[in-house]
Amino acid sequence: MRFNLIATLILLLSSWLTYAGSLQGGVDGNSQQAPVFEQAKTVSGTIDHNGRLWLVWVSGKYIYVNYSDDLGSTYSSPVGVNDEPQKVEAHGESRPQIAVSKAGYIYVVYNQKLKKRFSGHVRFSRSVDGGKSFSKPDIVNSDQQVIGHSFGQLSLNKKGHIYITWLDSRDVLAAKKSGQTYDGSSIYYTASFDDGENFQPNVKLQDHSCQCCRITSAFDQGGLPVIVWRQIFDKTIRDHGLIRFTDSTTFAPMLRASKDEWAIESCPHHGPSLDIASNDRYHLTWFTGAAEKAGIYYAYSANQGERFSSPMKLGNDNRQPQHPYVLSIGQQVDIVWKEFDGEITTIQQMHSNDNGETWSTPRTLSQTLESSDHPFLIASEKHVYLSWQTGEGYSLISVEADAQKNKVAVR
Amino acid sequence: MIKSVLWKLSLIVMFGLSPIVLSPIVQAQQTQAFVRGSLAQIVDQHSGAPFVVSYWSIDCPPCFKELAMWSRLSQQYPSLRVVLVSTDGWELRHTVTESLSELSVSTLESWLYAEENADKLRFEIDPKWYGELPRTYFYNAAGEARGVSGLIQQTKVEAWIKQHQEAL
Repeated sequence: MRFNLIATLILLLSSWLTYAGSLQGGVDGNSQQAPVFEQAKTVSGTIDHNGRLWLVWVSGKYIYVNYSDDLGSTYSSPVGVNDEPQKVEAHGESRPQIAVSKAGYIYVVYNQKLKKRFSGHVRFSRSVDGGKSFSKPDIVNSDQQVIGHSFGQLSLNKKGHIYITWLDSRDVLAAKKSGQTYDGSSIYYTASFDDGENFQPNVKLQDHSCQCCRITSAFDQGGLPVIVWRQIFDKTIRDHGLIRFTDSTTFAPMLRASKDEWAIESCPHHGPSLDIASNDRYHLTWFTGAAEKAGIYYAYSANQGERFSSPMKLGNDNRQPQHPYVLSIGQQVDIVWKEFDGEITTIQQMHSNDNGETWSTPRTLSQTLESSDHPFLIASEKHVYLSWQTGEGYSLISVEADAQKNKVAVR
Repeated sequence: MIKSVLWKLSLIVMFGLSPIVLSPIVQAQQTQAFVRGSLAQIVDQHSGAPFVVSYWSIDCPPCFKELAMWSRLSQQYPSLRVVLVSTDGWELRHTVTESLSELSVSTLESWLYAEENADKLRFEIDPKWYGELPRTYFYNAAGEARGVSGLIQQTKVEAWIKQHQEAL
């Protein structure tokens, strides 16, 4: 009798939990509700050729795009990208990305998380009507097993060529099937030369990438991509690799972009940032945890990544300097990064007006007492802005290069 | 009897757990909210004997290798005290709990970041830690810690256990 009572109670409870679960699903974002920009996750932006700021962000299980014609004072109504609810990667290192072509096409790349641990798809969607609607997001990875395809990275050159790079586990699985071990993941790419209508077949760029850092890419003056990511060298060293394309679908063998000799099997969640100046100088920032030199660094290469300048350490070691981001316009180069003193988070900025040879002393560009996202730099034709989301909201902050006379030289 | 069942059920409701979670596991530990001050509480509770605090995340493949190692070692050395802290955030508690159970470490003391600004937690744990995972701290009996980043070789942990065997 007593047993029956307990069984009944459990039954009642289970049905109640199912009901509560379904309610929670709604709140969770399974059902599409009016998105609130102020509660957006991982806002990322770009400025198009008309000076319009475009943003992509996540709310629940949906991705949205909105824009601002007054650099962030007012915003358009958000437009949804995915029509079906999906778990979307939305954290500092892995987040939806947006690019806008000269023709006004809007491209979005994001990572869908699947139920199985570490599994997902890289998806691509575009708008050909100026952001009024988006195409059904296609899966970019031709391997569609339920395994890792993640950290999708979108870049668009001036010719309108789209490149997508990502980390892929298909070679890990193939190795396992033949009884072998495989370190890390591999890095793949695809490209579209017809505004995202069709994509080239997936091509592996390199074996043995690290699994949990963002990829960075930039275009040289010929419009060819250069890609930098955290690579596993000699089975244990997690430094950075660089691949430079020699024409739109051919690339040169990997070069070593950083040589910190960080021997570790870990997830740093701390990917690099690359920009290429109009004189083809490569500007690179990155993080290493290598013994005796843990921290964030800047270096440049004047010979297409063959050799980099001596790394210049950035930031105050007592304030956890992290997530540096670099951007150049002509000879002007800016770097921003985040510091935290236990209470206040600041964005520090340094400027160079001579191709990264000499630098201003760091200054605080913005700060918050709330939680905050990684900092990013985005540019219009002539101006550089900090794109940064904090618990107080999203802001676009002009990065002025004035009053920075104290200079330190790159060794 | 009925009273105690009702009480347990109310607990289940409170914590939003499915009844299945409780039934088969004998000593599964409730994952606790790790906020500012939690580390001091952990250290206070465990000091007097050596112990380990290991930070991990569901987004970190090497962390799963390390969790599997903690599972093996805690069975092999029952006196070894390992405290697990997931950095994933309270909203992911179900996934975290699932992973702990899957890796057979749900009997270990477990905590989960539950602070809006997670940077504050990391700064409090160790201002010199950049957030790479797994990150493991070996505490001596006096509560002094040595931090190690990345997957640790089991032999190194075993050497540490042997070194501190009497105090464990």
